[in-house]
Amino acid sequence: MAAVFVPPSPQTSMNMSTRRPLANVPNATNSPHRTGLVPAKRVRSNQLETSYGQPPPKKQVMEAAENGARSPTQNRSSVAQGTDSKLFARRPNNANPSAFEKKLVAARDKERQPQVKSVKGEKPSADTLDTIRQWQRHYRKAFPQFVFYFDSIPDDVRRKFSRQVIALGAREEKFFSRLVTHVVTSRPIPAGVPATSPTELEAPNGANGDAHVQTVNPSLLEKNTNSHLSKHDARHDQGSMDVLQRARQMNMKIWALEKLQRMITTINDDDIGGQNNDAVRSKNADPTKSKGWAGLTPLDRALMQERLNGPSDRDLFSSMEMIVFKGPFLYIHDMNEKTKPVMVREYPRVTKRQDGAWPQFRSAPLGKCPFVDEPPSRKEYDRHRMRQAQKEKKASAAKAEPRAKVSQTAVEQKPDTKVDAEPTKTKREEDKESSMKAEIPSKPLLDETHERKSSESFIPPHFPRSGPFYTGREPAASGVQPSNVTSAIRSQMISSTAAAPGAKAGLSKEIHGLKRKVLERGTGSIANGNGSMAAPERPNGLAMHLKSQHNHNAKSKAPETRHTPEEDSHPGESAGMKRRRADSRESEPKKPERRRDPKPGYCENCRDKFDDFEEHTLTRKHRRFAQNAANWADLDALLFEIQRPLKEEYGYDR
Amino acid sequence: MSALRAAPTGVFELQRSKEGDERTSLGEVTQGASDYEEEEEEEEEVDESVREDMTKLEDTFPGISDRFRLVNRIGEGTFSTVYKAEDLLYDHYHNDWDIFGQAQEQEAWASPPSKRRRVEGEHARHKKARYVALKKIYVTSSPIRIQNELELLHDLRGCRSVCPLITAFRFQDQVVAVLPYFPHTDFRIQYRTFMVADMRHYLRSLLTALHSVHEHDILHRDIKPTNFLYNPDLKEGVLVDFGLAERQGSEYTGACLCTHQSYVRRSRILSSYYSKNPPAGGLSTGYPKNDSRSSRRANRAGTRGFRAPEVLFKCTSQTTKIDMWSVGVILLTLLGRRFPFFNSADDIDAMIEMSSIFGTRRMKTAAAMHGQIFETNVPTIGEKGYSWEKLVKWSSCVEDLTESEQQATRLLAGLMELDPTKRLSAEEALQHDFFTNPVHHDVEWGGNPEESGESAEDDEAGEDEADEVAML
Repeated sequence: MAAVFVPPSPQTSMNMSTRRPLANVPNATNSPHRTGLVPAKRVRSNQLETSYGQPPPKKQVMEAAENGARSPTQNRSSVAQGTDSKLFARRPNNANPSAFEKKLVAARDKERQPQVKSVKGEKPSADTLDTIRQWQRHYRKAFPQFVFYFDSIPDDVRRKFSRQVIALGAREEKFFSRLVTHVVTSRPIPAGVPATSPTELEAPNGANGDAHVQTVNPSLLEKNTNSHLSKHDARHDQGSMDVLQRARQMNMKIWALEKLQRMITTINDDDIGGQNNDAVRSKNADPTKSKGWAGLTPLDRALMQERLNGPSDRDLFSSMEMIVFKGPFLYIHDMNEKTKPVMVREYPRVTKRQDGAWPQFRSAPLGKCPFVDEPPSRKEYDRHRMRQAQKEKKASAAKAEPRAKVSQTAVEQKPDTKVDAEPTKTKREEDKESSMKAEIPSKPLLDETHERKSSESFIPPHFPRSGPFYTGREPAASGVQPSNVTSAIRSQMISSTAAAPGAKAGLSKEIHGLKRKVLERGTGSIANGNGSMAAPERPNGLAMHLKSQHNHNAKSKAPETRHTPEEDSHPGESAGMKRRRADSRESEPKKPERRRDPKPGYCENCRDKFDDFEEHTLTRKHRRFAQNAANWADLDALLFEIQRPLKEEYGYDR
Repeated sequence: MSALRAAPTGVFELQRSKEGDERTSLGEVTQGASDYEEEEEEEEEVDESVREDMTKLEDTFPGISDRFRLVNRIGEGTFSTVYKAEDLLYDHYHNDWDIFGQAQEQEAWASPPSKRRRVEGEHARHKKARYVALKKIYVTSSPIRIQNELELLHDLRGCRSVCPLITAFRFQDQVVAVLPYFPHTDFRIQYRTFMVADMRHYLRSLLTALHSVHEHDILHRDIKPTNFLYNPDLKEGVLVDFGLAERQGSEYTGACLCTHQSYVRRSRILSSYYSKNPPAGGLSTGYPKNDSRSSRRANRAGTRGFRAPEVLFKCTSQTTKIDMWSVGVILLTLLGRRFPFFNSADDIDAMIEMSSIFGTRRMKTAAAMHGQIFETNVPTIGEKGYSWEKLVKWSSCVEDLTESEQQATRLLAGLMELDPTKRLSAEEALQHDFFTNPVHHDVEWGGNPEESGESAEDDEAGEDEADEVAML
């Protein structure tokens, strides 16, 4: 098996990619290098790409920009790209790579010589940046003229995007009408349609066309030769009342939700837009020519490949800015870069490796976890102190309550603001939050009082980083995917909704977070104890480091850094979460007098997050669910089957 | 090890303690149970909040108090709380499930006889309290989830070493499953004292359970000591908590690369984006900043430290072999005398821990099976990793392994095999020499050889397994 892994030479790869049978396999066809060689597939994607004028497509920006009032250089390049895309659009069945494509391939191969990789420092060449900036400028200008209609998009997601597009000056139309210029959908965009390079087509369309096309790009004229395709569409669409078809008929743009997301991200990316490097401009009419290509960083190359190969999931990859590893890291990612890395984590560089913050096999005392580096004496000390503290607190429990309540609220809100600010957090942080949440119900309020609100609240719970002689600290199950019926960490906290079909969309990020690492109650309190007392240095340091690193990485305006992007982030999640959180905040003050600790969690049945388990179970919504026999019919059928067999003489029961 | 602490620490997960005090329910309950087990429950110390919860359950679940008298809380699970309860109407039913109850009587097991005045013979039997475990499933669990668990348990009825489902009730949103109350010993006490022979019994029972479960194409997904209630006197255990279990294939979100023939895999890997764009220095220099790609989705349900590598790699076609890995982790814990063996605060830590043992080379291969690229430059992760034997020696702090430990270590290698297709199945594991041709050359831990017979056999056994060992 090991041999499998030898990175093949480019030649080999090219040969491999001729394996036709694989063309049927979605995975395989996504390789950008299949370009010239598996034409049918590629063509289709190219069409898609050109028609939807990929967003962050930093490179391809130009073709999306219809607006001609720019430097000659740009005009030239836009023409070049325009033709390029037109070329693809026109050749729905081109079986052979064009000369242009071949050139690209050649260039790429030549270029494959490892170059000094400076990622992120790896600024895209000035050329590219310039292009991107142009693109940004264009769209920032254009957005105010856009009227969006969201089709088949869950409410919370819609709200989030609505806010974002409004922030950029656009409008949202709640109902589909002629005013709409852009339809954003989560459904597959009707096939066949994409061929219409809509970017360009919007211009001639009376009603709204003028609004956002300020000048006429020469390439537009040519592109309208695609009108035969429109005709085809029209025919195709007869009788269809589907919004997407209608939109197509009315020459509205149809964007996939992902596209909108990328557009927004790129438009808002000040890292690129903010820079003022106008110095270098390409002398090449065609930026993809070998020179331009050779100067490109891997990212740019990826961008080029994206242009050539059309959008696959990997598009997203290629358009992404990279965060450079500075210290030791673990990085596990999809070999086809179609999905988010399964794991990424970077650790601070250390001079002596024993000091590294990652788990290391150490000579721990017998019986103890070898990956935990912790002097037992400290542990004992902690435990002792903790017990002591708890005893004390227990004594003053009743009194402490109101105060504790406040602090708990504070804690809960803290993550809240963070959430607002950063829809996607690092896993660590989520974990921290989730585990905090998890702990809340499990702990007497007492403990929370002082430790919770300190900055240490964000330290990841200190798990059994210690020995086995510890009672009550076994790991609980976790890691449930929402797509899984059977899995949940702790139902009151989390749950997977896949069990209930269609529930996924409404799952908030936070809920995903919650299930990630839920501690048992006992463990939770221990973790907490550690947090408050002499917290072990290592986890602390790590957390702090990660945090600062996070901040560092997130210095750009869009703080979407993820060290561990292994969780799913649906665009709408943060919105949904905010909403829920807002709700929870409202409900908070309502119950100041409760004796019991409220247990927050998530109800799979109501698909609601709640602050207080008991309270939730009494809500009308929940009661209604509980009392509706239809919800339980299947289960009842099973229960009937598993009745306990009564002895004959007791035949009365049940 | 006080022979048997009938720790009612949960017929199900015995973990959480509700009160902040980490020792609460576990500590108290365990103690209470070991001292008074089988005696008047009144003597059991019941936390006030627990009592409150129990009262509430009795009040809100009509009819439940006619059948059961709740005694104490014995565990809190992922989405349930488990109570010990007296089965008031035991005699009204056929109790075929109650193989252990019968055993109970025969062995008069657990605490010293002095404390067990009540069990005096057959005639006392009717008065003797019968206990069951009531698993109260939280009302926030969806009916589908509940149904899944109960259905799987129902399918597995009659399987040896699998906790039988006696019955279950529903009132509105409240569902209560009735399970046998099975006294067992806390693993945290066992693992330090187990000799290889004990491990053998433990594993045989566990593997027997898994064999049945896997035969039904069911993945348990959460194999760990807490979910296997082992009674060293009976040398039997029961597998509990099917809350995360699933039918094989039910979760597939698309065929993982690992489901293909190796030549297909190979060619896919060779034609992958990564292979064609190998990073310059052999290692990626960074990762995408604002990653908007979708995540790879795979069921990762399980417990940290016990997750199989393919689970960590988010394999979308997980099989029953994931449970076998977890069995391996248990065995490693026993052999290495360390619990938990893996700390794994999260999946990434788990991966690093695993990698420190296996080394990058094998990890890369393992990742590639699932279409993943494994890269790391963490300095403590070597290229080759360590052999199991070395590791076991190292972690149990001995110079040399006994023959039987070596044999167990070979089994371990077969269980903790990164490639799920090469990993032993439960059935295969039960056929391993460790069970079929055991070397009884056991040494009390840290002590001297107790007995040293049959070491000749052992050598042959060693030959058989040489391949496995060599692979390390």
